[in-house]
Amino acid sequence: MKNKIFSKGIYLDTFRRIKIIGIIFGIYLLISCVFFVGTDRVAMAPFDYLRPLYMVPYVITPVIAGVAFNIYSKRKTSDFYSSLPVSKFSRMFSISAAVVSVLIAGILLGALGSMAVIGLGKPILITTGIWDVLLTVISSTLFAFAAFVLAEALTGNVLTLIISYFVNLFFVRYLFYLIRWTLLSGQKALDTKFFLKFFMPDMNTFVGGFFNGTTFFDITSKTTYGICNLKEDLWTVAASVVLFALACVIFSKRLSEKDSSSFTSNGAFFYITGVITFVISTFPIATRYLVDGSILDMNKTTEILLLFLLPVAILSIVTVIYFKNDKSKKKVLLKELPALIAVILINASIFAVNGYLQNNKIRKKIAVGDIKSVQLILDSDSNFTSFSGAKDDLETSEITDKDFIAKISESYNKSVNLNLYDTEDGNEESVICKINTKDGKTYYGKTIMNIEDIVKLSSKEKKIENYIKELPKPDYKTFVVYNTGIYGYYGRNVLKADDAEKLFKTIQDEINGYTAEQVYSDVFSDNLISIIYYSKSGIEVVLNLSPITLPKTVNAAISYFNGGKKIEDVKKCIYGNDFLVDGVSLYLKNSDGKYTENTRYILKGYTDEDNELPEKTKKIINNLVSKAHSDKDFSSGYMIVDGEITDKSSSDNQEYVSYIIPAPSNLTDEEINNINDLVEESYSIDE
Amino acid sequence: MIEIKSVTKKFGDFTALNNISCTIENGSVFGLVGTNGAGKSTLVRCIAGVYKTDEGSILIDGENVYDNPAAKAKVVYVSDDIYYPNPGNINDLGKLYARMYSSFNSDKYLNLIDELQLSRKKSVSSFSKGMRRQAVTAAALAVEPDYIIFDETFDGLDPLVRDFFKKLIIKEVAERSTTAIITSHSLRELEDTCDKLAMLHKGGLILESDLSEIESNYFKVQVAFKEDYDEKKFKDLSIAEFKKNGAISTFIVNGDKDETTRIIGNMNPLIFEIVPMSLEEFFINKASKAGYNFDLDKSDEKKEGKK
Repeated sequence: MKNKIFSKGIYLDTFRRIKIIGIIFGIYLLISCVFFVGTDRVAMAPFDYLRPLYMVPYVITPVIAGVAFNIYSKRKTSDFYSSLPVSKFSRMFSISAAVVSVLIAGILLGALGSMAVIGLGKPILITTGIWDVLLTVISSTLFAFAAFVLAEALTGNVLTLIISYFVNLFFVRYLFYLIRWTLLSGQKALDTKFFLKFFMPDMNTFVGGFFNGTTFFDITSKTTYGICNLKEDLWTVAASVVLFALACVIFSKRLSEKDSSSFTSNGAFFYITGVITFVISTFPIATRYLVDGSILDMNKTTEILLLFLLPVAILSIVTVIYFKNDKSKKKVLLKELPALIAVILINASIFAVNGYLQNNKIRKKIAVGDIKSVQLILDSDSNFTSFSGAKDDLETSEITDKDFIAKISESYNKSVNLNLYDTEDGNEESVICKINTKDGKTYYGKTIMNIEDIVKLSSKEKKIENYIKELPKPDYKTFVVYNTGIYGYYGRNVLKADDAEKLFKTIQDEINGYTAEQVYSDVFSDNLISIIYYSKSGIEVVLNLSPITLPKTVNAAISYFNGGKKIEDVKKCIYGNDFLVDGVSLYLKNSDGKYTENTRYILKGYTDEDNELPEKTKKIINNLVSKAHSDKDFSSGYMIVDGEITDKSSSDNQEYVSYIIPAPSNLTDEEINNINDLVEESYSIDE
Repeated sequence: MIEIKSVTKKFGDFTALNNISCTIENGSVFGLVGTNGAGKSTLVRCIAGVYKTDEGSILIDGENVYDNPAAKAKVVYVSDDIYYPNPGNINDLGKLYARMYSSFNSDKYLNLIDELQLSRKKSVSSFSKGMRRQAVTAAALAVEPDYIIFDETFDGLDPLVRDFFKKLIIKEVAERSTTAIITSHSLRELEDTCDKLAMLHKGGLILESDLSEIESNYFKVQVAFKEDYDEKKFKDLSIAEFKKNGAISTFIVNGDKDETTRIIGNMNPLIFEIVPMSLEEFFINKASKAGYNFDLDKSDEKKEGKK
């Protein structure tokens, strides 16, 4: 008999054993996917209605794999399967093949089933990006499964299996985090931000791009909506193959399939205890900075004690837990020694590297004149990632622009002596600079920069095509959901195919004629008029529109937003007082004539009859609307009027609405002052 | 042929098998007995390829059995803790064996099931413990392997079914030259079935012999003399379990019956009789010699002595 890799008998038998749990999860996936579709007319992008599929790598994979490999945890099953005429490798491979088949079938069933149901009940089904979601889920599932199989090969009981599983999932990632943050940023190895991010869903190993396709070290890349790109998927699959191969080797080398044994060899013991101890022993350093890095402030002596004494304490606890029934504790303690030494050495290395970096021996000030070029490495959860191409562009460009270098140098030198923990404000971005000096040296350092500065500076280096590329293509299925609205509470109104096509031809025509800087200004501006659409990968993208730079687009978008209502009707509502104004946002062209910024005023109206403000508010709004009456487009600004339309015949029948109308272009200074006074008054009432 | 060569198996600090060597010839029924924890189940697991030996080797028809599908295809192992599909009925059990063993004979399996009057429709888990063993044993026999191992499989069966399987195994051995290895605490059963017997104690092999050899070489003697005498009188014989009550003594002799008769006959006994010895008596004798002894009287004496 040939030593086969695959055993059909084991494969089919595994199906039999996981049949029930597989069916339960299959039904669950189908129902939950349909449930997630919601009541919208449109079935949104796949990451929306296929979200329950993420249960597969997170929950379903370890459960089904647990059932499949349960044969090694009971003596009677272990005896039976181990005595069969199938090699150990073949047995493991065939069980794995069956589990993976069931998991992938479950994923496809969930996806296709929900799409079929959606297809029956929804006028529009968006399938753009479905492959991105499916590949992400499948690659993540493979990785979770490989981690489980490795845990199974290493351990012999449920407790050690669970621990080993999580260690396998996270350890490599954890290690790379340490390397990246230790070497590149010059920060201490762990800080709150890094540590908490580690546990955030979209940063998770499963869906966070286990290895980033672009930069090996940059495994922190944020995956928008939990969707990896193809490179990340491939890296994840590659990592899965490595873990699975390792599992196969270890499994084949195991002395026996004796159930309920703890560790099967010194190597496995070393791996588990060493890794767990290492990870846990770095916790206190992370928690140190949980509250602004000050409340739990520790001196260096305490840090050293924690880094070195904690491993000893943890290993002792691990020993007590794992070997509580083992008589030969002395031997066990001897086995622990290598793990302990390794952990202490690693901790010592981290500490030493950090100490070196903290002493600014690497991060030193660099004169502008010495800088040849600069590269930026944006933080993974950067606010700058609305367009993925923008981030890639920025990171791959070696910037030589003198102004840019001057700004970066200033920011970098300023931050050299700072303690950089959590110093970012809302509009600031943590940026790692790679500075190449004229004498051929390279320096890394973290700087805190204003996002607008980054945008403006880097836009000089950017290629407009990359942004255009991410704009929608004239395809009905992607076009039809393009939506216009006011950012924050836009509706899910669906444009007709013709209208959508018309609107986006307008966008493309206008954007094509712009410089990169102008596009950046619009994309990252604070305009409230937005178009929401789905990118090629199915990700929702909000494109802010400026009436200054994209007047035609704004006009078109607003007309869709107003839902075909005539401006005269809106005015009639206001004049007729059946439109109770709740607020007005006014966006105007600056008096200095610059088109990059709009002036924004907010008026708040009140319906309380005892207050004088409503009348005053109405008066001002009537004046504004009256003045705007003659304006036909939005080129000089716009007003967003929010309120409730009341039906006089029934007080219950009220509708909350927003209208966008052109702003008056000829306001006098006195009128603007009146508005300012009104805003101040309304704010004072608020307070 | 199964060759067990200097096999040692340890679990941590515990040595389950210590340098065991023996040979199991084809077409024989090999009984494996031993005290509790002697290593019987460990040895059969090693033979079935479940465990890898720490030292030594186990060869089946000249091939190492561990992780060797070719060698394992010749062996079917029925554990003391039997496994069956749950949920699943008789047909599912048959399918499981059919998937794993290409030599599985479905007709034979179903015939055996019918003969044992087991329901084909009911879930195996709803059967009684004994019925489950019957079903699994039937499936194992239907594989028609060259070597079949029963680890205390028959201990939970009723006498009729036990007898049924006993005959079936003997038939398999006769017709197909199958080799059966049976571990059991019921020495009475082994006595009727086995050709060869091995005895384990504390991981060591203390006896390996043909049953016929045991029967002819180990026997009980009852003897009485006029004069007073003690155990030393029989120094020319290999005796054990010497007990004297008045003038009459009984003891076990390991040796040739004719030679023993001649030696004792020369001593002019008043009474002399060779009594057949059961396998159980033989086992107790062997185990006692190996230090496995639970004497209630001695235990009581010890307690009183302490007081």
